[in-house]
Amino acid sequence: MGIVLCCIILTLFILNGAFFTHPSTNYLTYVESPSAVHVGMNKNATADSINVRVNALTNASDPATRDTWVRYNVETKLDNTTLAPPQGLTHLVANITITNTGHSAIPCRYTDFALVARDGSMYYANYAVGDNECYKNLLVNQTLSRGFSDEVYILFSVPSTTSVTACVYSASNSPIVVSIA
Amino acid sequence: MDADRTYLARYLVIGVVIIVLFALLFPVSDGLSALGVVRDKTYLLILQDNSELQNTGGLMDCIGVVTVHDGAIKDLDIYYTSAYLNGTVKLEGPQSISAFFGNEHAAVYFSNVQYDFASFAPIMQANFYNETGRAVDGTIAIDSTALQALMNVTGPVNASGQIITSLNVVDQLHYYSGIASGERAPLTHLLSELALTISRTALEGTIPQKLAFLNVVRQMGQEKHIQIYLAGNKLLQSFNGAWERPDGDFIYALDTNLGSGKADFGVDRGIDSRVTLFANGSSRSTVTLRYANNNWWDYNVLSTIIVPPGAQLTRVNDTAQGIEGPLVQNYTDFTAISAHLGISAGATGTVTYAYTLPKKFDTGSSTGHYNLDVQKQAGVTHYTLNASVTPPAGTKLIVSKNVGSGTYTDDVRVESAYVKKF
Repeated sequence: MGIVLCCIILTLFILNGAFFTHPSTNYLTYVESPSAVHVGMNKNATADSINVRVNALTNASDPATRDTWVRYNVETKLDNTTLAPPQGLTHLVANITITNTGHSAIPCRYTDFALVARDGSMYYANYAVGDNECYKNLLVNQTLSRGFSDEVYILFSVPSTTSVTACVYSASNSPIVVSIA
Repeated sequence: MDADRTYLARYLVIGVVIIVLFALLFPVSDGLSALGVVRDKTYLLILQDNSELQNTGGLMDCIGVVTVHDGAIKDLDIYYTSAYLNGTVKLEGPQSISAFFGNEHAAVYFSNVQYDFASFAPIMQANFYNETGRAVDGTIAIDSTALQALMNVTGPVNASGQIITSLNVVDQLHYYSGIASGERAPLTHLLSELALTISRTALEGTIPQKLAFLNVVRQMGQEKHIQIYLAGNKLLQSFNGAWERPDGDFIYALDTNLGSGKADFGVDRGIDSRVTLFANGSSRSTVTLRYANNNWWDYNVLSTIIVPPGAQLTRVNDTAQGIEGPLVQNYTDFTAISAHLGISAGATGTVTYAYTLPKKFDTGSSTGHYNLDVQKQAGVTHYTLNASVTPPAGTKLIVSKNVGSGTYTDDVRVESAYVKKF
């Protein structure tokens, strides 16, 4: 009888979700690779024939950022994406120049870019827009043709309290880590 | 005497245990049956993208057929809806779109126009069978908000070689939908990986993870981000998304995104309700629906409110950038009022309906009470409600629950009671 009552009470608590809380997780923890290439903003860094230069990291609510995003979102003909973040989150847009320095086409995805926060949490990319060349190469084919060099605008969603310290391109054998000033 | 009491106590305890176990067994048997424990169960799985609202929760971007065996996924096929189901169907059942726009047919993937999922699901199952020849035991709809909540439990997932989290999953699905054509193989492949990962974590995760899953499913079901239609299953009946017809006053607001794309996560919705009660039990209501369009593009919506039967519309005002309607549809157990609104980028638009209701509410010579049930549309993530109640002349409110302003993620009941002033 006592065991039955205990089972009933335990079931009621479980159904109420009061016991055994599991913390929600929406980020990875950044682990620095020994072969990482470090560089500052507006500086070039190359790994595996991909050259990366982070030109700016701005809040999507910034009027100039917004206008640029809108222009390229319309130009790429991808679904319009809202720049209004949900409560508790901030949308950041990274303006990155990507160049293929090799002699042939190479794979590259915008989804391999992530932001790293001061506490080591890592937030991967949401969405991206660019001009027609960027759209055809990087966004649709996920391949950079020989000689490709163009800007891409990548949207990230981070908690509003996050302080971003770096932008990382993680797909190369030597990850490229750009310190955000 | 003592022996009699002992026997009585023993049989009383046994009786209580049997009643409790009996009460538990039915839900348990319904649950086990739904999980494919007794025999395999096959479900139609619908991903409703609630960033593009439709009446039952969202645009049916992708559908799947999933077979479960002993609680685990045995088979899973996911399709891009418009590529897999390209037939046209007649729009059945009470709904406003046909009457408003004069079209009685739509593509299957645009056919979720009924006022709730419980009305739509059996029609969709029949249409699915007619087009594919595949019969299913039930239908499960999950929207983007539920997917994000489930991924908060799994944590980041490495799918198709990239990191997907609750923060980027919706945008990633939109991206893969946009860059491909036809069957959208990258999109359906990604969704399959996510579904299998979520299922695997639910079955093989830690105890806290499993309990967190249970809690998420319960909460998402309550808020109509997960809806399950399984005919005859009493345990899951409360998950079927059916809207309720309470005896008292009610407002059920429904929005259909009209070609404005993935706009609805950037629209803040609000309902202002001002009710004046009269001594004979009738009432006069003024309901304002507010849409703050925080997107950088215009928003077009078919806005419908469902209120008690016998409602007489007396006035319509709007501050939208364009309006067609309203259309009033009278049914036996409700009245539907619809209007097509256009709201410019960055602007707020409203539509206000004033209507009277016949004698309906509990009144007495010196006391009375009034309840207003505000029901949330499936897919809507949150809304603000500003509710005010003016009691009959000569009385004053003594109970006022949820009167005033609040932001809600679920249905809410406004309760009030009044007494005669002395």
